[in-house]
Amino acid sequence: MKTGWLPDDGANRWIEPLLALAVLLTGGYAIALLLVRGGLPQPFFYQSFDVWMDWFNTAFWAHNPGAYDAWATLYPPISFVYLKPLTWGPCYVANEGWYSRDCDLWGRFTMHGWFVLNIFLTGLTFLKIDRRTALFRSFVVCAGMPMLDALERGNLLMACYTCYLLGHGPLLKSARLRMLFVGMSINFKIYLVGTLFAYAVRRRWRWFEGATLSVIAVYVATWAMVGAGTPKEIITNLVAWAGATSQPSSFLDLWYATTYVPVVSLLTSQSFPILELGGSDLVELGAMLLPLLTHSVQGLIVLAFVAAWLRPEVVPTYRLVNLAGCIAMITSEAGGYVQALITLLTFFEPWRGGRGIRIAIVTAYIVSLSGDIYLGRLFTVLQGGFLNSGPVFYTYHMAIGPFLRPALILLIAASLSCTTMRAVWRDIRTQGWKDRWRFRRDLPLLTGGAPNTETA
Amino acid sequence: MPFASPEDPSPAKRNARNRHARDIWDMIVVCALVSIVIAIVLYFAGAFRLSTG
Repeated sequence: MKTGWLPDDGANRWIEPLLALAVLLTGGYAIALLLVRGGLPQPFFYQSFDVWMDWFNTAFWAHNPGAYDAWATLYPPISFVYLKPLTWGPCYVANEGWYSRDCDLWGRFTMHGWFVLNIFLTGLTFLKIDRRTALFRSFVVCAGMPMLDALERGNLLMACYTCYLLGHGPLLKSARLRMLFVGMSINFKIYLVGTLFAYAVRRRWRWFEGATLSVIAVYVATWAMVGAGTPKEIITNLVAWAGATSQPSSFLDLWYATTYVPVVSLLTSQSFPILELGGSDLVELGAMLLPLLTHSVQGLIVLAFVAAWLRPEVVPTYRLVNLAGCIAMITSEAGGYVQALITLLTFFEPWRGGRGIRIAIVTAYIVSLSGDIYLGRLFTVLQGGFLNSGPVFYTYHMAIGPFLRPALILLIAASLSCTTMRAVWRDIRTQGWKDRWRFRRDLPLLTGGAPNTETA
Repeated sequence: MPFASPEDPSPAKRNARNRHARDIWDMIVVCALVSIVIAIVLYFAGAFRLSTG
């Protein structure tokens, strides 16, 4: 068996290394701008002083009561249980805000330590999957734009990512531990709840039941620890949040969007003079075509699930988990960093998996490029920067990313869906239906583990 | 070796274990280097100066 650090699969010997080099160069450019200019470039967050505040704002409510009534958060209680030991309580006595970030050196250390832990686990995971692409894929997942954005925000996606990786990756052998991590990942980011159904479609009933129970158990345990975060509180806050986000949006919502929801909202609202700039034809066309495009890919994912239900043995579980995550992430805007979850599972796919797989892998590299292509300058403001502890001249640009990036995410989902349907179609054509009784001895749902002894 | 005990694994299994152990050490070295890079970037960017208070 040949070993080495370069892929040996025809064109892929060069494609993945070159794309990884492009990710390295764009990431290096962003860091160079931070060192020279004092702030990270677009599409990193547009307020230079707000660095890491997803971590420290949440930490305040981990050390103080009122997360669900005063802050009206949507985070399940696990977020506060997680952050409490990882941040220094005496720094959170007055009010949530930037002073806590200055005070809490332990919190800064643990946040970056968690990022490094993710690198460790990601490297080991990809070394287990395919040693020849491990270097490039693990580098791009860990140092690509989505994960750097999560680090810049200090977002709990980093914790969710760890659980997602351990729950769906090959590192852990214990099924119970993996189910626990799946449950924790869903508790960290509720929109991942659809990933449970990947197991049901694959007829892995024990996994489906175990992971579902794990979600419930983790929620109940952390709810008991925090003493707040009842389902009623979370639903009330969710309804209030949905009402607030249904208001007309600003162009800042486009900043690092992964869906067309902000674009359509901007086209149909009066908050930005898009009608004057682009004309009514453009607005009407965009408002019609973009939702149509999104709904088409959602339909493709549903069809892929139906196909996988017919022939679960030809579709890997991680792909169904990825598609289930994709359908949530293309339907509602959850932040640009969620792309780290999509690229992670897309990179589980082998390059030889087919044309659709190759398109998805290359697209995953492209969405990991740090930076954007600017269409035009909007305005420049003087901000107080945090990372440079001084002033920053920050220029806001209208960029191509918010229009292109959602299309790339849709392309990944569509490619994986088409590949799934093609694999099922090919299996049906070659094998027909004669062996479809092969699942007759499967465990039926909710039996408590008793095998089905019924004969066909 | 059909009756090999866990203390005496097959050569293939032993190689896999050794490789996994080497991978863990490699990743520890990588993570140490990344930690140094992060610290250097934050230091030279100026993040260790307390800017708010």
